Amino acid sequence: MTDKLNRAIASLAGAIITYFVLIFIEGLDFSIIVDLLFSSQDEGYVNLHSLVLIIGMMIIVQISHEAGTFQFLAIRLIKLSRGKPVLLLILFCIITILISAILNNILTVIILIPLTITVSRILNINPSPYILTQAVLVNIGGTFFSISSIPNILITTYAGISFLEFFLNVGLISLIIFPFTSLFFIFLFKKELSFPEEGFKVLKEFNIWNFVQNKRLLFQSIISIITLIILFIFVPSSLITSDMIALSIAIILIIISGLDPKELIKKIDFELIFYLLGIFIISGGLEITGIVSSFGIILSNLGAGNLFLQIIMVLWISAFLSSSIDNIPITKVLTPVIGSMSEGVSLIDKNQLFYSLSIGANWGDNLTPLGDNILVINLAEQNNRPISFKQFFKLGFCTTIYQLIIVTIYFTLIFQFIIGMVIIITISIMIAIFYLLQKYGPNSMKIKIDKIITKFKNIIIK
Amino acid sequence: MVFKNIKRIQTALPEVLHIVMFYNNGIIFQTTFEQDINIPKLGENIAKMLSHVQKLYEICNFDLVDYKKLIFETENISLIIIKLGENSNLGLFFKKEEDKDLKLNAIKRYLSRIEELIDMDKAELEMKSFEEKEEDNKK
Repeated sequence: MTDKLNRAIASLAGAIITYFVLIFIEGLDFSIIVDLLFSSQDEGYVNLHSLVLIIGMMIIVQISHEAGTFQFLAIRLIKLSRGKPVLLLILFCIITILISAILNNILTVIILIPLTITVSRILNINPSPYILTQAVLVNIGGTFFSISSIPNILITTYAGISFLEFFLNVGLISLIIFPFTSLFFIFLFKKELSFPEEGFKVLKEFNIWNFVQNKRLLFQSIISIITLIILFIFVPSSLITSDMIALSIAIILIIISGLDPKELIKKIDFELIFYLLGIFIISGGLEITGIVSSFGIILSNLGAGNLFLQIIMVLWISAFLSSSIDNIPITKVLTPVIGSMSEGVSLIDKNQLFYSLSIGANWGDNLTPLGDNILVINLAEQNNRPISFKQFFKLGFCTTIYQLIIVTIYFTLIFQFIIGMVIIITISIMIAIFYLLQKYGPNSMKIKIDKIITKFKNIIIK
Repeated sequence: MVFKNIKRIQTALPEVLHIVMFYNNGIIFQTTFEQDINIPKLGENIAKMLSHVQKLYEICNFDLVDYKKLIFETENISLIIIKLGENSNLGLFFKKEEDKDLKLNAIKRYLSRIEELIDMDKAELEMKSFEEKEEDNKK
């Protein structure tokens, strides 16, 4: 849809239709629109808090981007690969999740893809494995912190989940999934990873300070990001809300950076702000008209009132929904649905449903190369290193299913420990048998297993 | 390796004040400018010059087959941007001297060496992957 109609305009058009429905069919007055835009006092102005947090983060990120912080840190890490291709892939994975933990996915790929292609030109390598890896991993970084993506901001503000709580319950899952995903990519691409020694020597000559406008600005932006995270962790939201922390740091950074505020304001993503305002009205309209609670009842019944089943269902449903529709409206609509599903459930259990939604909505994006992922394909093409849509689709789909299965096993382990252990032991035994047969089995068996592995790899990456 | 070639260019063409080695996306690989210059902005703007001329060609309905160099000459300082590889370029800022043209031929071999080092082109990449596939098939 975004190709034909700008998403902000589409969202505002939807908001206007909602307005007419609410005024003329539901018989409400204009004050309802103000309540939907910013949320009411009873709801704790959650929408307004979300907007302020997003704007504050946008300013901090924009100044850090101007300072060249992310490119500087990325190339510094890449240089640590010391000419080892697998280490380079691992470093690219680490860089991706670190950057996407702070930036939104779009900005992360805008920074990383051209940088990766430039590095690949110097190293004389095919950038596709690295680009595909990054494209998939940005979503893992997106569930690291509560500020890592817009869906997280919407969920945590709605449910009142703190920065630390989110990190301990979702960020740590991302940390667990990260090595599994990296190993999967190494397994898939190991054969394609190699580069001549001369390339690395040239890369060492790459002057990383060329990314930096001035050192003072670089250090200011790094200190601001560190301070922001420390304050998020240690200052309780009852004292100062996270949006005010972010906005305060953003304003201080604008003042001390010496950058032209007019130029900075110009670079704020107003399209996203308008898009969100529209989505707030549409999702609020769905809530008022009772559609959200009906959906909540259907989901609760499907889960048969069993919290574990509900968590798994939210995970997979949100993942598949956000594969074809942008994850921001999905999250905005599903948060009150989960709110209505979890009535009577304890706060800890209720939050598990929100964590599951965050994982599903963020990671499900990769099931199809639509939405934000189109940008990755476009950027690769603009830099004369096109990647195939089909290859991206196969890799993204398989990796996301693999990640969702691991998270499902993780939740099974928490809620149904014995079943979870049985699943883990069975999988471990199967992998061990497979490995032993390939290593020590008869030659015919080894050849057979090799063929199966090659076929499996070819299905995904060729 | 690359820096040595830059130094050789400066030796061969002493009128060259500064050299900027950059990619079409604005990333500067190396430059002789000091850090007191806003180097990321330099990269961004010098790359924009190329894309603007490209757009100009599009507007005029001219086919941009392959650009070789772009010259911007002023009374005191002039700039020549030379295409290196598929996506890389070299910007030479030089002092304008009366009745003296810049002899680019003297630096041609350094240019091709730098191109080899910092920018593998697509055809080469395809050839490499073709050879790898052939090797795999032989196995």
